[in-house]
Amino acid sequence: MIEVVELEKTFRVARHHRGLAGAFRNLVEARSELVHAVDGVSFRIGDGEFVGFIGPNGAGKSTTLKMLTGVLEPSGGRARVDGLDPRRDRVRHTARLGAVFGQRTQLWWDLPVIESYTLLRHVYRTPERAFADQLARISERLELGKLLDVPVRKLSLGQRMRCELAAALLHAPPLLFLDEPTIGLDVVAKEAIREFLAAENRERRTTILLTTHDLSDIERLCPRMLLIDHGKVVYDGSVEAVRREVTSERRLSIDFETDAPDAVPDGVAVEERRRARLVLRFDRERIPAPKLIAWLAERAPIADLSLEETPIERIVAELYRRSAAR
Amino acid sequence: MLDGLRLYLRLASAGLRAQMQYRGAFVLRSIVDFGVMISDLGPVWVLSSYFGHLDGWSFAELALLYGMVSSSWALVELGLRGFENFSAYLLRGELDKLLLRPRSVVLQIAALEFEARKAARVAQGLVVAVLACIALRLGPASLAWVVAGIAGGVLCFAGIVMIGASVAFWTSGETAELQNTLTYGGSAALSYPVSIYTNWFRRAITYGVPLAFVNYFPALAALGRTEAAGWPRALPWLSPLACAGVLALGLAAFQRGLRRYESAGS
Repeated sequence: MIEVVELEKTFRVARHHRGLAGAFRNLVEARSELVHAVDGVSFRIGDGEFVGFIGPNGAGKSTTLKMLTGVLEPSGGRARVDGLDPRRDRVRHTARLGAVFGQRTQLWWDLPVIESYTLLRHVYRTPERAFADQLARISERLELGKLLDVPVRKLSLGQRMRCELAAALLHAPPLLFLDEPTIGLDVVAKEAIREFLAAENRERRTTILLTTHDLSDIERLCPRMLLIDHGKVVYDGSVEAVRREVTSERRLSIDFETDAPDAVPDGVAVEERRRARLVLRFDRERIPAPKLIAWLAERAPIADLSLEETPIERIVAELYRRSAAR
Repeated sequence: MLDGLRLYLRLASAGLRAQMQYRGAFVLRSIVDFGVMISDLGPVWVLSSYFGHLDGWSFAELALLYGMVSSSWALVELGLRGFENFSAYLLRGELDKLLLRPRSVVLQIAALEFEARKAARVAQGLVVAVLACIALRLGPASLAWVVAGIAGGVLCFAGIVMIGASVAFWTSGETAELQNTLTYGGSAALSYPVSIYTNWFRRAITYGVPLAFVNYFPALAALGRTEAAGWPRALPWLSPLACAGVLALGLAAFQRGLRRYESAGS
């Protein structure tokens, strides 16, 4: 279980004078200011949870994650992972932790993938048998077969990400931290990774923490999301609950057999209008969907329609707006 | 401990295999290294053959000095290569990766960018030292001083590269030049007897960065010339202490830096 109480991280950032004259002034007169990257974050994560961290750039997601891995020391508050202090008990803690930090590789660039794995087996002191089983299982799931003998530098980004993920899991850690694991990947590669993560979480009860900018990762994988902005937790709960809480708005796309009606009921916004097609946004509290559809059907015969929840991007944008207003 | 050593060897040999993927570059660098090795001893030979001796040191005695210091330094270059290039590694933000693994960070850094061709330099240094010992007909006690000097040098240079690497935590810039001044510069300077240098420099490498304890004092003891050179007879015995002190300082500085990194972030 992960327990974070009032976690803080303050960085001292140098402020530089500009220009050549400024560069000389920087030498004699160092100015700096404090930046509160993480400013009193608290949460608990139970065993087997799959939690998504989201937030704009510089919100404090990665810093929080780094404090949980033991790479960074908190400036205030405390973090415990299964009773261990990630920094003071770094060796014991990291032995039970798998981590993938987005753009960084933990594989040996010029060596075949399998050699990196063997080295990691020694680094983590994984028993040979357990290692072989885990490798067989994961390489089947992630379809690593042919990749194992290829030097890492010759892999595509998607292939490499799959290999990184396997590397982080070969010592069978109960805890997995992922920082932007799908960044820059195409749809197929993304889907492969998502499917794998969902299965790891479901079947092995691996606790997974993931940061991402791709909100569809969250929607697809995480029953719970933590939204962080300006170093604080702005929202902690399920995607569904936040959707209900933030907005009762929905979207209706509708194709008519004839020209679309000219008017729409009060309080309904037209997002897109073509000859025989309308895309409408409406508030289900003010006008329920059946009523709206009936109203439209009276004015023109309907050929087809689809009803959508508010996309997660809009929800998150709304949450950011609220946190900024606060 | 033994487990750590085994991991070190595994990591080091992985680095080596990685370099051998670029066969051309590997061969070329090995050739360049060999050339440098041969040319290294040139100036010493030229100077001593021109003057017959250098400040009372014969060519064989100079070769002993050279063999000792270059063995020490080459052993450190071979074993702790990662610390030499640490600042660049830190700048690339790759330290996090090592902190995420349940093993000693010092051990992992030491094994980075291992270069086996440095073993040739170790061999060259040792061959020169052994030949010098034979030429000088050194007895067992003197040989012990030579070995102790080489071992002390390893500790001292190890400490220096660690201190140099640690500076990177504070400056967050390249520190390779600073390190090179002390290590390559130091080992070049120590190829000659310390007594030929001007006063301030001699003091600096005796009391400041105690490089003189690496080979000069142990060599004086081995040759039985400590007092003749104007030093207290017991002084060479301080060598292991001085050298271990530098290493302790290096380790402490590195741990300090690591704590600073962990609380400052990248």
